Amino acid sequence: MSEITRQASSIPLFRERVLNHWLNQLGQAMHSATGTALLVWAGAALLWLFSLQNADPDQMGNFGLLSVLPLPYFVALGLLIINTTIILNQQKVPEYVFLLHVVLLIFIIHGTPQILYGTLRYSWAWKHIGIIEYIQRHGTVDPTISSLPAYHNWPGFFTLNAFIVQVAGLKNALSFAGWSPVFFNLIDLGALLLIYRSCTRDRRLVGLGIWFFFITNWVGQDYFSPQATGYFLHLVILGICLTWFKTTPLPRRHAIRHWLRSERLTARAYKLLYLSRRAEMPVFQATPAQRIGLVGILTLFFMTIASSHQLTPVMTIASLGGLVLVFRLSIRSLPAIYGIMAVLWIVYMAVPFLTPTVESFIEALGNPAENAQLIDLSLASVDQQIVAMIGRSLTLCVMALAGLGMLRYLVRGYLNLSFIVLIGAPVSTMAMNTYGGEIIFRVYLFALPFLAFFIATLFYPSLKVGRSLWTVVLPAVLSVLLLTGLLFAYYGKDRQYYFAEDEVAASEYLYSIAPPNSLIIEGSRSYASQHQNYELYTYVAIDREPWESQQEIINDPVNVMTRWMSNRAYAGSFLIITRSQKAAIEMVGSMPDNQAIYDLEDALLASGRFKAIFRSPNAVVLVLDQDPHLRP
Amino acid sequence: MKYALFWPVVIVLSMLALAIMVVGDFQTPIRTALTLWFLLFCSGMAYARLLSFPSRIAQIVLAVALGITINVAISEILVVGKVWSSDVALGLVMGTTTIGVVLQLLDARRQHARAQIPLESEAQPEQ
Repeated sequence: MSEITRQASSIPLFRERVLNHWLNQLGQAMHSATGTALLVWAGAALLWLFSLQNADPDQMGNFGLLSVLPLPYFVALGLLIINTTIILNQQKVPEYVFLLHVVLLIFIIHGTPQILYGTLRYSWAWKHIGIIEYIQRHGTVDPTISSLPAYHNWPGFFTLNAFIVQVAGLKNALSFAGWSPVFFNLIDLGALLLIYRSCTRDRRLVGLGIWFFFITNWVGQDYFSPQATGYFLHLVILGICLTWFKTTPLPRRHAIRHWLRSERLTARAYKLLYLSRRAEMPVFQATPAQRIGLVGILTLFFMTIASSHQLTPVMTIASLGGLVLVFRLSIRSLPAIYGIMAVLWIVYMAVPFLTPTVESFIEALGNPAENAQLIDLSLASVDQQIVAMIGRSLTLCVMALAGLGMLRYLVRGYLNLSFIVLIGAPVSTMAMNTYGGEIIFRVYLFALPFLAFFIATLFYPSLKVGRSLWTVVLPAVLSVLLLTGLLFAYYGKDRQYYFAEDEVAASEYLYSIAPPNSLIIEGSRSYASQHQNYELYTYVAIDREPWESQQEIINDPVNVMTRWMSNRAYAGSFLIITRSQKAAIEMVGSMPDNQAIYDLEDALLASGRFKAIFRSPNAVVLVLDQDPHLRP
Repeated sequence: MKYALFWPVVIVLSMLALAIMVVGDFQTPIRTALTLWFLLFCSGMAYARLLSFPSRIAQIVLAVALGITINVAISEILVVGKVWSSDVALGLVMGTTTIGVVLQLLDARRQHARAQIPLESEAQPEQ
């Protein structure tokens, strides 16, 4: 047979065998529960994309992004919720269909700001771009630098991104940094699967736990940052330990007796451990070579965490220490080894950074109540007080629901001791530091995977339970409530986190003309700042000045600003005021008068002593009209 | 054996494509995508598959985590050691990845050879 004839005969063969087979499969799928689920999923995705056409971030009101999202956006989320809770109860629907739903949820929640804004969200992310740009220019870091020194002492995340930027031939990391929340949440999804599958084979429980994690993770630490990378690696370490290095045989009674030194306590502890064994999956078998490989990997992962972020190593050590305490980790020396590695990094790299902070660290040590104090909301605007209260209420709801779930799980005879310890371990770090008033939310973030799991046990406490209609209806209703809280808490502050294109242009223009050793005065820190030549300038944020100093500016803006900007110690002086700065001052209440920043801008422009070298609807850059730096 | 070759082939092709992009200094979004794909996934996948875990999710999660770790380690050593060069770093990552791929191929060959040896019961001559 000639080549042409052979080819001609292979076409109908392909059509008959392959194409028809797949068309049949597709036809069957469309008539099945899987097909229906996929159709609804596609409908929700299209509705979401369609909804974004009618949302204008420039029209954002008091509740941030939430105030401009149109009805179809919420309908898409509603469809997704209903479909997810239905497919979780359908055995025949394959797992990938559920995972597609979680992926879409991640895109809807975390992809929406990036699609609508087109610029990098959140001012700290811009500072991270600046550190990467510093490494690109200098080829090294400076642990003794005075501006943003922590990043130079834990530079892992920044060196990685400087590497990516240069290999990709980019100018900076802006072209991919905006998609970080989507990326980090997607990889966290994989780590969560690893963790949850280590303790149950109930697919519904795993699925609902994951679902609750993503609709209650409002803390917003998934942006372009070292902590997001550290968090993922922390979850992977826990996943590996719980999957391959879990201790299943009960410790000998006399060993517990030796530690507790009381017969009564020993009996209770032994009973707890016995109960907890029921809530665990057997250890996944691994060959000696695989185990050696995994130990090596665990060490590498922790090295990356220890060299990239200050808080995450503490959380990892506390979590693994907790697992060792309840006999749930076979490598009992792992927390100690990690502790040594973290200390070695500090000794090698971070001593100059930590030395001045030792005093405050010792003061904060052992004061969990003080460290956990939340920021004072009395100065914030009413809408921001509502947003903050919703975030705090969501946290309390999650904890209460997890408590109930834990109880229901226990009533069914399951005690997941590992997960309970992993909720408690991050709490112990509250005794160490305030972490800039954020520690309580970081604790919530690190406990959340396990809290979310226990909320799911409220509906699926065992394989035999949770087959009624209620297990579709109640999780759906609860999801609506929790997701509402998430949307307020996560999007509610976006008026200060969103930077319009002209605001970014103002900032870029400023950095392109400001000579080294310039003074840059800002209304507040909330704008696209410090992303270029960041170490060359001195920054003064008006809303961070002492109250008296701010009052002085309000009383006599023109003369005070003239005095500040005439300082010959600097090579140049610039004042930048943007819409996002004004929004931050209004929302946080960081100046005695919310109108002050608007009045300042008007007064300076009207005085004739200042001129705008950049002006757009959302931003202005001012210099003194007769710049003393230019005079001989 | 065919499936065992799938990932080594994908990794090597990704590596070659990225090398061409970097050497030719092509400025295209594909280069960014390829950089992220190779550095954050392929470099880790070269080693994650050596552990031969049956769970695909575990393999993917380990690949991403290893990808991040390998690249952080190499770039951080060069930056902190004040000998930073993205070309050297890329060369080191590609070298590390190649070692992983070679080990994967050796492992696949070993497993293939083991599968060729008939079991004792199968080797019995027919009565």
